Amino acid sequence: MLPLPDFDLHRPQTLPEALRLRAALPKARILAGGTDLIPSMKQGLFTPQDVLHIAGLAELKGITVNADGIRVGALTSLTEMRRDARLATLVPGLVAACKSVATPTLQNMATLGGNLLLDTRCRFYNQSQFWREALGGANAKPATGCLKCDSAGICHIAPKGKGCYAAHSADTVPTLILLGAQAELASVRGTRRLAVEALYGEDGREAAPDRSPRLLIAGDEVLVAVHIPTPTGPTVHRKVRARAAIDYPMLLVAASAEGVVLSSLGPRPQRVTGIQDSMLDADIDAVAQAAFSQAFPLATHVWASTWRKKMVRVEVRRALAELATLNGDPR
Amino acid sequence: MADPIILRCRLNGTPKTELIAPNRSLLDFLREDLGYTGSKHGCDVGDCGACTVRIDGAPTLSCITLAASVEGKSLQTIEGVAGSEPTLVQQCFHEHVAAQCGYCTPGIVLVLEALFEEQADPSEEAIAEVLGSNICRCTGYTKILSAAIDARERRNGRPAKPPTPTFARDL
Amino acid sequence: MSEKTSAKIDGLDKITGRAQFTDDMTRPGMLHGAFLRSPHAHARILSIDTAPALAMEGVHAVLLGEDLPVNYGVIPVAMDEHALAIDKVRFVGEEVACVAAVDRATAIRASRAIVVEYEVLEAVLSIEDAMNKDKPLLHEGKRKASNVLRRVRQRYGDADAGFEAADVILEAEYDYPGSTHVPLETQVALAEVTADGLLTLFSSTQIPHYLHRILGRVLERRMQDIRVVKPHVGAGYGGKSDPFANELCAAALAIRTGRPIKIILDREEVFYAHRGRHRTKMWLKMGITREGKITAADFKAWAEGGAYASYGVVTAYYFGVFLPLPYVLDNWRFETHRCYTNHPPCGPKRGHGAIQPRFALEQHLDRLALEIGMSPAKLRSINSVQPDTETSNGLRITSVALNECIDAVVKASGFEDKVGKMPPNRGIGIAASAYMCGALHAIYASELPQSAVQICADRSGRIAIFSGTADIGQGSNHMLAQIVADTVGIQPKDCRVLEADTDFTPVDLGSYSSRVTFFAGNAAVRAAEKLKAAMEETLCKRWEVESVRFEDGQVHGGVNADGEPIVASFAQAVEWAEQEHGTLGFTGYYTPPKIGSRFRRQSVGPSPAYSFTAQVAEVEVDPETGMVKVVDVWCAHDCGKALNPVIVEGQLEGCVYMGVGEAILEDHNFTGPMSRRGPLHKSASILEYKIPTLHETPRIHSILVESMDKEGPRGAKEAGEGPQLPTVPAIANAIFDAVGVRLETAPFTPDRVLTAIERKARKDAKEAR
Repeated sequence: MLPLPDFDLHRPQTLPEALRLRAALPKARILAGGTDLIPSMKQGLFTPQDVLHIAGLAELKGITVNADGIRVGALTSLTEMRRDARLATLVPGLVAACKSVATPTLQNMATLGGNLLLDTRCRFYNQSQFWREALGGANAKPATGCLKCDSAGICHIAPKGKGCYAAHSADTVPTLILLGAQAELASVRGTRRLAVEALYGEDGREAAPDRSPRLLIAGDEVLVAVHIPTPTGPTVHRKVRARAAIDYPMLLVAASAEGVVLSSLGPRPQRVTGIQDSMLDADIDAVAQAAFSQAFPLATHVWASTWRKKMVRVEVRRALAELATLNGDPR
Repeated sequence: MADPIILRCRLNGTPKTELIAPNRSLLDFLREDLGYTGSKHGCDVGDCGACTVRIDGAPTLSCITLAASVEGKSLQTIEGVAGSEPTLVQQCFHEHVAAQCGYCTPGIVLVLEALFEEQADPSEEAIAEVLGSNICRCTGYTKILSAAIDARERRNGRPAKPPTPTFARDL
Repeated sequence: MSEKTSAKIDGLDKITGRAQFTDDMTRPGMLHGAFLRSPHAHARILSIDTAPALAMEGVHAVLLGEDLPVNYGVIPVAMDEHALAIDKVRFVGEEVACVAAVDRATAIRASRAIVVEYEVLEAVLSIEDAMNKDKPLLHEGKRKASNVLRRVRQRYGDADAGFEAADVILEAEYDYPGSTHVPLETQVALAEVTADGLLTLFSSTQIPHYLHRILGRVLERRMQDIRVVKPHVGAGYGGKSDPFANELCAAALAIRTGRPIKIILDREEVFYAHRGRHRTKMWLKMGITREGKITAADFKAWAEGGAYASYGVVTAYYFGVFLPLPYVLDNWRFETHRCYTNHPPCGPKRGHGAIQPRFALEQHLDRLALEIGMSPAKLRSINSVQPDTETSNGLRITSVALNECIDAVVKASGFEDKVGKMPPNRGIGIAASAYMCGALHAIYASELPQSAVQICADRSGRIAIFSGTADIGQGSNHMLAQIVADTVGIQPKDCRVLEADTDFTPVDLGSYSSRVTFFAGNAAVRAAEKLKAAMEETLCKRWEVESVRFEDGQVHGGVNADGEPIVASFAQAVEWAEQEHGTLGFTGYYTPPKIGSRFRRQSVGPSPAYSFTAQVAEVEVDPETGMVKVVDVWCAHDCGKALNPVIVEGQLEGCVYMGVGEAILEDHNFTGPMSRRGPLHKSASILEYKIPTLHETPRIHSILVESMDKEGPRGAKEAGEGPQLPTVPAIANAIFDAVGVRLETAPFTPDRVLTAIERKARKDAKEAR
C-alpha cells in the first residue's frame, strides 16, 4: 500500500567493505533490522539515494562474555539477547528492557544497534507525508511544517523553543547508561569507544544549528558493538506506555546503585542529578522528587505531558523500591 | 529506478530465484510478485502483525522487511504451514472458531507455530506474550487464546480443551 | 442438530490463508488508483490542474469531482456526498482527485503532482461551533441554513408529572468520545468492465445491495449492467456500511480506461473514511421513587458528526429511541442533534446510536441506586421491560430475558458479595441494555422483501444456498448453512453458500443494524422448510408412512412390517424427490411484520425483536498512575436461541473487547487549531490509535441466555452488537466502586482517572477539615 522510495541497495559482506561504503556514501541510510527505518521511509521521512544494508556483517553479531565484561554485537537481535542465559544472569534489567520493546515479533527483527541509534519520536514527526504536508509542509505559506522534517518549519511542541524536542525512545539505553556501557564505533579512520551516555545530543534533529545533533557520532562511523562492564549490582528498567505491546515508551526509568536515568522526555536520556551517590540507601521520596523537578516532558506524545510528568515521580519511586527489593533491602 | 537485483531464497521449502527491485517489500514481493496472498496488508508499517511470515523460523513482519533481506534465507508463509491436513494449531483454531473475519489469522497461526517449535509446552503467559504481537479486532483474543491452549494440551498428550459454551440455565 | 463441531464452513479457508479477500485478487492489465486528499478542513476549491499528473508516464486517467456530479448518500433523505469533492472540501483527508496508473507508486506520485488552489474557509470544529449560527455553513444551498443535520424531539407521557412523582431526581452531563472501527482489512475495491458492457465491482463492503443502487445512481448506468461482488471481508463493525469513494472511483475509472483497476486505502486513509462513533455530549435528568421505579427522564444529546450525513439522521433518532430500553419508562422526552463539523464523517459503529445513551443512563442508574440504597442489579431488574408489551414510544416488545441475564452475571461474578466490599482500588460494576434485531424499515421506503434465500438440493446430497447477505466475519454464511442443514438433517459443510453477488444472489439489504440472523435466517428457514416439505411428501408417499425424520444425513421412515428400519441417504431422498417434483429449487424471503405503532413518526427504531444483555465488569485501578485494568467481564446475552453457541460467544467476546477499547483507550481525536491548516487526526495509525492488544483485554466470561423468540429463526435474535452496549458503563461503574470517582467522560485514560482521583482526594481532605 505504501511504496518505498527508490534507492540503490548496498549489501557489504565484511566490516571493512561496509566502512568503505559508509565513508563513500555519507548520506546513505544504514539498514539493520529495519523496524524503524522502513516505516519511516514509507512515511517519506527519509528518501535516501543509497541504503547500506549491513545485516550480513558477521563481525557485528553475537554476544561474548569474558572477564572484562559483555560484548554485544550491534546486529544482535533483541530476541537473541532475551534468550541469552548469561545476560539473564548478569544483566536482567537489560533483558527486561529488550523484552519491553514493541512486540516479540519486532524483537526478532530489531537489533541492539538499531535501538541505540533509534530516531527520536514526536507526534508531529512520525506521520505520513500527507499528514505532514497538511500540517504545513515546505509548499505552505507560511511554512508551518514540523521542524524535524523541514528546516523551514516550526516546532509544534514548543514554537518558541530553541529546536526540536522529539523524544528519545530507545528502551535499552537508560539501563545501558547505568551499566556504564560503551559503544564501539568503527570507521575507515579506525575504531573508538564512546560511552553510551555520550552518544546523544541535545536536539531531536540529525543536524541542528547552534545545538548538538541527536547523535554525536561521525558521519562515517558504524556502530559495531556495545561493551558492558561486568555489573556489580542489579539494574531496574521501567517503561510507561499505553499498551503492554505494540507501543513505544512515554517514559523510561532505569535505576541502579549508580543512580537514576530518565528517558523519553526529550531528545536524550537524562541522569537525575543532585541526589545521593548511591541508590543503595536512597531516600526514595527525595530522589523521586528530584527526578520530578528535573523532568520537563513536552507534548511530543498524544497522551498528556502533565500526566507523564506525574509519572516520573511514581515510576522513580517504584523503580527504587524494586531495586531495594532486589538488593535485599527489607524496605 | 534502481537496477533490479537477483534474490535467491527458499519459500515454503522450494528454492526460488527471482528478480526484484531493491525497494520491494517482502510483503509486496510475496503477494504481488509471487501470488502468495495469505500474508495480509493491515497497516503496512509494522504495527498490526497481519503480514507476519517466518524467516529462518522467526516470525517477522514482511511489510517492513525488504525482499532483498531474505537472500539465502528460508521463508515460511501461511501457505506453507498446512500439508494436506491442517496443523494442530489450525485445527484448534477451526474448532474454537478463533477466526472471525480471518484477516489476522495467518499471522497469528505463524506466530503460534513458531512458539510451539521453540517450546513444547509453553505457559499461558508465554502464549499470551507472543500473541501480543498481533492485532485481532474481532475476537477479543478469547477464542485465539483458548485454541492455542487446546493445541498445547493436545500436542503434549493431555486431554483436549474444546470450547464449552456456558448457558445461563446451567449456572 | 448438526454434529458437535461448531467450526464454520469457511473456517479452514481462513486459517490456511486460502480465503480470498478483495486485495488478494488481481487482473491482467490491472491499474491501481490513488487519491489526492484535501490538506484543509474547510476550503473552497478554486482550481485544479491535473496536467502534471497526466503527463507522467504510466498515468492513465485522473478523475475529478465534476466527472461524477451526481450526489449520493446511504440514507436517501440526506444525500450530501459526492465521490470526489466538488467546489468545496470539508475535512482534512477528503478525496479531491483520483489517479489511475500502472502501479500504486506511480498513482501516488501522480496524485501529488496535481496542483489544487484553495481558498481556506473558517472551519467548524466542535459541537459548539456547529450550534453557533455565526459560523460558516458546511453545506450551502440547503433548505435550512444550519450546521445541524437533524434535530429530533419527541415526548411520551408526561415527563413533568413523572418528575413530580419522583423521590429522587438527578441530572448530570456526560461526554462520550469518538471512536473508529479499525477493521484489519482496509477498504479495497476492484472494478472491471467486460466486453459485453458489464461493470463488476468487487469490494470489501457490508452493503452490496445499497452499493449496487448507489453505483447505478452515481454512474447513471442501468443496474442490470452493474454487478457487485463481496469477496471475504476483513471485518467492518459498521465501518464498511457506506459507499466509499474508492468504490465509486474504481468503477468510474474502469469505465473510463477500459482497464481493470484496484483502489485500496492505506491504513491512514481508513481513519479519514471513518464513519465511526459520534463524539456526543449528553445531558440526562432522571427521577426515581424510593422503591426504585423510574418515573421520568429528560435527555438531550449533541452529536458531532463530521462533514457528511452518512447514517447521521438515524443516529439522532436512535439516541432517543434506545434511551429507555431495556427499561420501562412511561414519562419522558428527548431532544437530540446531529451536527456537521469539518472532521471525517461519522456513521454507524457497532451498537450504533445506542452506545452513547447507555453510557449516560447506566451510570445514572448506579447513582440513583446509591441514593435510594438499592442494589444496582435489583434496580435494573425491577424496571425491566416485560415480554409481549409495547413501550411508551411504541416499540413492540416480544421475547425478553433481561432478568435472566442480570441474574446470570450477578451469580457468575459474585456481584452482590463484591460490590462496595472489594479490596482497595478494586471494584465491580453492572450495566444492562437492549438492541434491535434489524431495522424494521429498509433504508429506502419499500415494502419489498428485505432478505431472500434461494436453495437448490443436488442429487449428490449437497445443497447450494444463494443469499445476498454479506458475511464480514460474523459467520452469517455458516448461520445460513446451519439453518438449512439442520432442517434436513445434513452437515453444514455439505452446504455451499454463494453470497453477496448481486448477479447471482437474491437481495439482502446488508450487514447492518444486527439484522442478518433474524432476516436472512428467517428467509433460510422458509426456503429450507419448502425443501423439506417436498421431500417429506415424496418419501411419505413412497414409503407409505405418516411422517419422516431427517437426521445424520439420512431420512428415516420408522420401521416396515418386518421390523426393519426404513431409511435412505439424503442424496437418495433428493433423487426420489427430484423425480417427483423436478429440480429441487426453493426460495424463502423475509419481510418484517407490519408493526403498527401509535406513533406515525416512529419509523426509526422499530425492530421485529430486541436482544437483551447484562454485564458485570471487575476492574483494578492503580491510584498512583490512574491506569485501569479491566480484569474480568461477565456478559450474559439473550440471543433468543444460540444457533451456534461458539460463534455466538465469539460475538459477545468481540463486543466486550470493542467496548473495553472505547472505555479505556480509544479516542478518535484531532489536534487543536495550533496549525492554521488543521485540524489533523491525532492518531491515524494502529500505533497511535490505541486499540487494545491481548494484554489490555480482560478475561471474558460469556453466558448464553435463550428466550426463544417466537418470530426469530429457530428462536434466534442478534448477538453481534447488543453485547457491546453495557461494557463501557459497567466499567465506569466498576471504577466508581474501586476508587469512588464518577467518570462522566470517556475514555478512562490514566490522565483522566488520576485527575479525578486527585480531585476527590482534595475534596475529601477539605471535607475532613
